[in-house]
Amino acid sequence: MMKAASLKNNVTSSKKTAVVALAGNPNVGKTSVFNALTGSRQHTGNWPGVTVEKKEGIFTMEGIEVKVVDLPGIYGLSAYSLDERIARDFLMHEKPDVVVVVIDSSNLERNLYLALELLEMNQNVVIDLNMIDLAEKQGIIIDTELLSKLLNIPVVKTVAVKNEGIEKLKKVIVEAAASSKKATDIKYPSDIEKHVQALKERIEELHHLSDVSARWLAIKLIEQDAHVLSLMKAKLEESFSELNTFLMDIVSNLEKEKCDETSVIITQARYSIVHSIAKRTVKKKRTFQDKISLTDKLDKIFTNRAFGIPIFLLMMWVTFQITFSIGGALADLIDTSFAALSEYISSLLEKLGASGLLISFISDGIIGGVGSVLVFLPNIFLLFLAIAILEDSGYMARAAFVMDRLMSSIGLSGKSFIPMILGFGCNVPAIMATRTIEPEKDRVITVLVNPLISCSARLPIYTLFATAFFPKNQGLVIFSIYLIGIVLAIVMAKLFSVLLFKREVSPLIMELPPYRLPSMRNALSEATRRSLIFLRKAGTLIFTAVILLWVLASFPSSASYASEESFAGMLGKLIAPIFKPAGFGFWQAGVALLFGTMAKEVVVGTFGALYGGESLTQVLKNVFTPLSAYSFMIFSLIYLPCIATIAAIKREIGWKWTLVALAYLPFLAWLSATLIYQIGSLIIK
Amino acid sequence: MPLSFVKAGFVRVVAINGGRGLREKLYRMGIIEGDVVRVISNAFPGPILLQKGGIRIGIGAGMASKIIVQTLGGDGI
Repeated sequence: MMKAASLKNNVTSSKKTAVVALAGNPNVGKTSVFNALTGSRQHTGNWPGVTVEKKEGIFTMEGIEVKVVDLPGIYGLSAYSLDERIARDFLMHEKPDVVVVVIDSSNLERNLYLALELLEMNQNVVIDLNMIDLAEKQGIIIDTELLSKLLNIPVVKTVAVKNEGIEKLKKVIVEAAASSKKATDIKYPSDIEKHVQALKERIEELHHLSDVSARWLAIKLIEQDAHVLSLMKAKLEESFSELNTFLMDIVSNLEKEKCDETSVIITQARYSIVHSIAKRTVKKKRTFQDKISLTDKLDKIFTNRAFGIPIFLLMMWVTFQITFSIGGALADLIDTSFAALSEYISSLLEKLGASGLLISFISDGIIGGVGSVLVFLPNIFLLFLAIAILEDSGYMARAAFVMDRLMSSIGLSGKSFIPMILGFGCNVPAIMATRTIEPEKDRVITVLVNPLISCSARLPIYTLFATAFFPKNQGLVIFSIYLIGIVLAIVMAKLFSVLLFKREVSPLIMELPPYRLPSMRNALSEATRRSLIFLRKAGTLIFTAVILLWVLASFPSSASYASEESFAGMLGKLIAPIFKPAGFGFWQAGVALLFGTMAKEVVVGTFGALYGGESLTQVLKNVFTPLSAYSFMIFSLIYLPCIATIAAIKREIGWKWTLVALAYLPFLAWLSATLIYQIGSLIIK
Repeated sequence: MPLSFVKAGFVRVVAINGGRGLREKLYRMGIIEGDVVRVISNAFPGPILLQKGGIRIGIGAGMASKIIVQTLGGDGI
């Protein structure tokens, strides 16, 4: 660990710096390597132009300050998904001094594919054989010396979670950064290699692209990589057509010879190189036949065609029960303390001779408004904890797997299901998570229906109403709201894919990580991080909304606080008639929903501020019936995403689609709430 | 026979009758002609779960019907 003092020293003296990028397939323990390398000295930002998280950190070794950039987990550099494009653009344009390829040692063969592509790109590659202990436990022995000799690059063994081999890795990185030695080219079979060479020489003659490896460009052009083709077209302008004629000759020759597309030919050739390297360097003590892991046994159950979906529903139900039974008890505790605080402060202010207006502002506005939202902190913390545990354990990917059949029947693949589950936490990261979804059509639909997945900010609304109106069946009632959200998302996705897109098939292909005992520390820190975001929101956005609301409710001064004659009352009365068929056509509900677009928690905060001082559950019983309460919950679920979500939708899929979302959601909300209220009234009567 | 008909057990991949996209994606995931993979579960007409060298890959039913395999017997577990 470096001390802060020595870091400062480094800054003032003439320091040497280097940039190292971490690349690797998903699930190879790249994050652990990143954490082990950089310790606590890391920060996150976004990649330029996109909302994908970019993690950076630093370590210092032998007086050199090394900046570590964590690239997204990728399988190759073909730029199929946004993640791959980001990684490739970074490698092409930023030119890190060293690229560390983190490899899951149990799967050297597949992981080497990416290493090979990076070597082709003429990157300064270091191989990190991570999780070497697990591989050795499985009887896999890797001849690192031979591997290093064959590829002519350094190879280091690590167990990042146990911090083993990290110092060695740092040393090797610094050495590699200092040396300008580049790896030797890995040759393709001669029938392909001759074309690569010929094209490479042509590209070198052009001199326009001296900053990128000509060999790599040649290979990518033969592969007919769309991204590289358009890049070359833009850079070369007129001289491109000449090069392209030459290229098309090669492509058609190769395709005739091998009876296949060039992209497949190159991928296969690359694979056979990787295969022969793996064959020479990896020794397995046991055959594949006798390896039965616990993960396989669990998968037999969790991905079973009959039990898969019921198990998933059960998991969700248990999650909600835990969130509400434990969370509810804690919430009560906070509720009573806030009520006491409000009383104490207003009596204190009275003694100090404060004006009635100020007392009302503090006790009704601030404490009533913000307090009524903060009450739900335990629920939100527990929900995020549960989601983190589901993700960490590896179950989340199984949920996507079992839902693939249902998702493909609505024109999507199981991959679109993960953003839906993440949406239970917060729609903003959920919408960002759609970037791994490949067909653009799937991505657009997944983003459009995501607001129907009920996020944790809407939880306070349901909890408040369920406590007031359905005290005995709280968990069940809230569960039903979530379920309705899911069903509506499915129906709308189907509608969108039929109405707006051609019926294209979106096949599923995804890797499922092994199950593991979820780390409580990780889950707790994730839940804490999320809860802090919620707290910050309560302190800023919700606080502002509540103040604004208090002002609207207090003025004009002729009107008494939160009365129909106040500005808030007038505003509410204006829109209230719309909600009459849905059963909540009074102005307070209108105001609450209006302010709720800032952040959904504000719906509760508004009721808190408007009915300030009294027990909220009691007051609500005077204005809502259980039926209209349920209809109000449904309306809150659907009507409009919060501002942050709208911004995320716009960033990910553009204005046109954002307008589609903003048009269909309020309409669907009104329709659903009205149907529930009207049909419910008939049944109850 | 198509992979989508295999209940469980070991199979050898004989051919992948798909377009460029499908084959490249499978290759990059480490599934290639000639490989031996294990079918862990098949939820036909839902997706299929494959395992190869400790990596588990879920493949949709439509995709699985384009992968021709030869069964080698054995149990999925």
